[in-house]
Amino acid sequence: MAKTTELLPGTLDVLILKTLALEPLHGVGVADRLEQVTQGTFRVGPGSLFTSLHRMEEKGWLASAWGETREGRRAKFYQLTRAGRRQLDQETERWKTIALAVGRALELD
Amino acid sequence: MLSRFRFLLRNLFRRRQADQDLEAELGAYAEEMNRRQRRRVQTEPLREEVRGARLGAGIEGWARDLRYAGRMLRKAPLLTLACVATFALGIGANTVVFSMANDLLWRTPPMAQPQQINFLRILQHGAPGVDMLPPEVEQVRQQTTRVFSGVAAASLTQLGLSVNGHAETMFASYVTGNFFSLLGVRPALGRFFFAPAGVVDRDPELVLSYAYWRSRFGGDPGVVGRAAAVNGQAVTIVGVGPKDFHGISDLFDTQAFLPMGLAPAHQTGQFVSALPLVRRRQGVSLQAAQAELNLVAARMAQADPKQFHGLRIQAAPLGVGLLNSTGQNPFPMVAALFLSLSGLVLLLAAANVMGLLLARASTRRREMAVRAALGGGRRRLARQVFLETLLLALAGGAAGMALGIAGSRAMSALPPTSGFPLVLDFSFDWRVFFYGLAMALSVALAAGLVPAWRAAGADPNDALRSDHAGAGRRRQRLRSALVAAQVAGSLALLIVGGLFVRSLRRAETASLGFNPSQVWNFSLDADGAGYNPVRGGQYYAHLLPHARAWPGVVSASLAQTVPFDLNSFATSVRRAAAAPQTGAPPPPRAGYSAVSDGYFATMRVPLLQGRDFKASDDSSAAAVAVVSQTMARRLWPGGNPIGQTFVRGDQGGHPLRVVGVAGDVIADFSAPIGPFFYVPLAQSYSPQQTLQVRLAPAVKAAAVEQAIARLDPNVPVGVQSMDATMDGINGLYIFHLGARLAIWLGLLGLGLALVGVYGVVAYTAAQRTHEIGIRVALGAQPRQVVAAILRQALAIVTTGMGLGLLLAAGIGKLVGAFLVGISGLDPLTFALASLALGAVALAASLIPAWRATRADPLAALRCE
Repeated sequence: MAKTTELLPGTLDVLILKTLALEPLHGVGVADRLEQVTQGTFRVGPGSLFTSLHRMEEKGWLASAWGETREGRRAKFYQLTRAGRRQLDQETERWKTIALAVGRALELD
Repeated sequence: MLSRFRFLLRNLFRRRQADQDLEAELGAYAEEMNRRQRRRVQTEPLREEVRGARLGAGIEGWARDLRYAGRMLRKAPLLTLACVATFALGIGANTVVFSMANDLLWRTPPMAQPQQINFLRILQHGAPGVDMLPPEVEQVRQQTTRVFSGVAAASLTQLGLSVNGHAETMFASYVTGNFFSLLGVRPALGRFFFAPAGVVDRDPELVLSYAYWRSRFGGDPGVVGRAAAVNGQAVTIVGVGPKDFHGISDLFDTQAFLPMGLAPAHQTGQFVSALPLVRRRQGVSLQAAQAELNLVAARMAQADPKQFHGLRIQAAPLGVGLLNSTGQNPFPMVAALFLSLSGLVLLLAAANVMGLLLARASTRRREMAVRAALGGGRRRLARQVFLETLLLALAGGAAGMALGIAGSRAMSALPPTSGFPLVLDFSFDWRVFFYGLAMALSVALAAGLVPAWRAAGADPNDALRSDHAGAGRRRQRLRSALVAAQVAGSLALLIVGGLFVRSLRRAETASLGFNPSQVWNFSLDADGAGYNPVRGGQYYAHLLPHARAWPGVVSASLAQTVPFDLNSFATSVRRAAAAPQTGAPPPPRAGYSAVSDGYFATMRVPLLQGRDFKASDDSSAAAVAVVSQTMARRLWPGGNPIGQTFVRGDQGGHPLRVVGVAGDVIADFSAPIGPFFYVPLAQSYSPQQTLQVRLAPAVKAAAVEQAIARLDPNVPVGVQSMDATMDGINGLYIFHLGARLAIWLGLLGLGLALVGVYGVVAYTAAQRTHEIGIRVALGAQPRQVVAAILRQALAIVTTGMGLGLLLAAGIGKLVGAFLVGISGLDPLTFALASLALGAVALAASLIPAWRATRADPLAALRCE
């Protein structure tokens, strides 16, 4: 098993939103994409993944629909809603600010 | 926001669909993972995790626990039934008592802002004082316009109302023209009469009370405008009062209202003494009003010290306090007493249920431990157990409410046998329901918290071990303490119940000073026939000799008022020789009645000295009186009262000469025997008189009633035996009610104690099966086994009884004031109640102890 890093609290949601910004994905797709874009740094377990997906759907950021995967299997696909996109923008801004501030602080040390 | 709400609804109400969807999604995921040849994915924990994070998961959890609780209760129907029945009895008893207190204390009459309405009580030196006549009421009104927006007056009287040639006696009020507007009531039908303050309204109009309209006129809306006759005088019915409006007191129904100007005394130029009613201005407190009244009273006392010395005008809330001349309202005290007693019953019920739940908890230890081992959180386990208790309490509360409704109906349906229009409406309103619910919730807390807390402490290792020692012993101690407390509480209840019953017996068999058996009272009303005093006097003078000649009549006499009557009269008395002095202690008050000759013989009141009245003691002869023994002792201590003279405070200065001394008579159980005197009816006419007839055995009173009606059909007649009069509202009615209530509560407590003791002994015996089995195997006799178990039970019971005696002694001191003829520490009651409880507890312990002796030693040893 590859070495993984603990996610900072609250980052999973924004990462999922980001992976869904390009195209609708099903659960496995989201997990794969996440591992891919973070180059294996973050690996999300299915419990956290589905909990997060469902919570964001309840919040109205995601919409879900049953569809077919490339291999022709039935799966539930998640898609960003307008509210979700707005949330992603906000969170991205917030992360930029924090990352900048934390980065500066650590460099000064 | 909207989306969340949609999902919440979906999760709560279309859970099945949501779950299937989730299942499919996770299934697809698991399949994908398998395909990639990773390890097998368990979807179950995943599903639980996602579900736990869903909106409304908390509510769903509660609902699931609730369903589970319901299932657990259904699985143990006997225990459930026992708990629900116990709760139902406790809550039922409480709602009955509360509905009575609710009626007597808190039910508000349908008046506008009733809390602003007061009546004025006139006291002199702390005792009921001079009557307030209209000129004085007017004086008070003029001086208190700052605090009162209005002053009205109402007098109470009995009248004969005849409609369509049928006469009936009723309780009526002559009221001032501003009475209805001051109280702020609106007619249910027709209109009220009205006159501004100070103007005497003489219109011959009549307003009926709602209850009387329903009972006598069947709620006929055509009653308005109908002609009627009140005491022979023609009036027109103009309106009907609102529902639940009973006049100035809520305890009895004032059946009709007439303008003050129609009162007979008013028409002959005299004044009617009436109860002054005031409405405090908006924002004026009772204290502020009282301060103003104190000034007025002081001014009046200064202006006329002879009449008004020591005057106090007290503003008091309307309601039951009205009935009580001493100014003390006994109901809050009585209500507090009975509410505490019924509260004690509820505590006993809660203790019983808690005992049962604890006993079951020990058999459910394994279940709890397994659930704890499977990851059920401690809070979750506690919640589970508490929910079960809550369900039991709510079911018990519902059943108790049903019992309570039946019980309070039974209590309301105990009308005094007199024709008094008592208003007892112990029906349930929102307050009683709320109280019942609050009781259910508090018993759930009382009975459920400890078992819930215990459940939270479930140790997963317990599931593997099966030792009965350790924690079991601690549990046992708690249960024993509970049962001891129960025994204490029920003994106290039983003793208090016994005290009330013994008090009732004492009151019933008390030496009254007269002999009520075989005496019948025929209340007559010459006013009701429209007779003036001359005509009325002729009627009564004509009646008495006839009555004495009727067959079966042993003796007959007339009286203005009889013992335990609804009407009683009192005035201050002083020796004629002693002139009234300013500042001296007030003269004693004495009750009085005007009676005909033969009264003492009919009532069998002994004449101790002197003579009875004679036919020659009439209006032309010197005024004479017969005084009671107590009055003789008070006015002429040590001297011979015969031939002495005294002056009554209410009738000028004419001295009355004492011609006889009669034995003391108990005319009212609520007060100690005071001075009393009798005057001849021939010297003091009363339109209302009671013909008292002592009948030979087996003679029917109806024959006498018919004979009276034959003599003059115009005079309304009310018939009642002297015994029934004594059971009336001024007699034993309250004692009956109190005794019935107290003994029911006591028996309920006894029953609960029985269940509690039985439960704990049976449980201990079951716990000791193993030990007993060994003992029996080693050759112990059944007798020894029973003795061993009984010893344990008796230790608990005797501890409880000791505590119960102390508790009862405390309560007994408090209830002493409501008892007749016995003290609150009556040793016989204490002894009998202890004996009864001890016997019941012994019986409750013997059965399970005896069953333990039948334990099969082999079976007992095998179960380990």
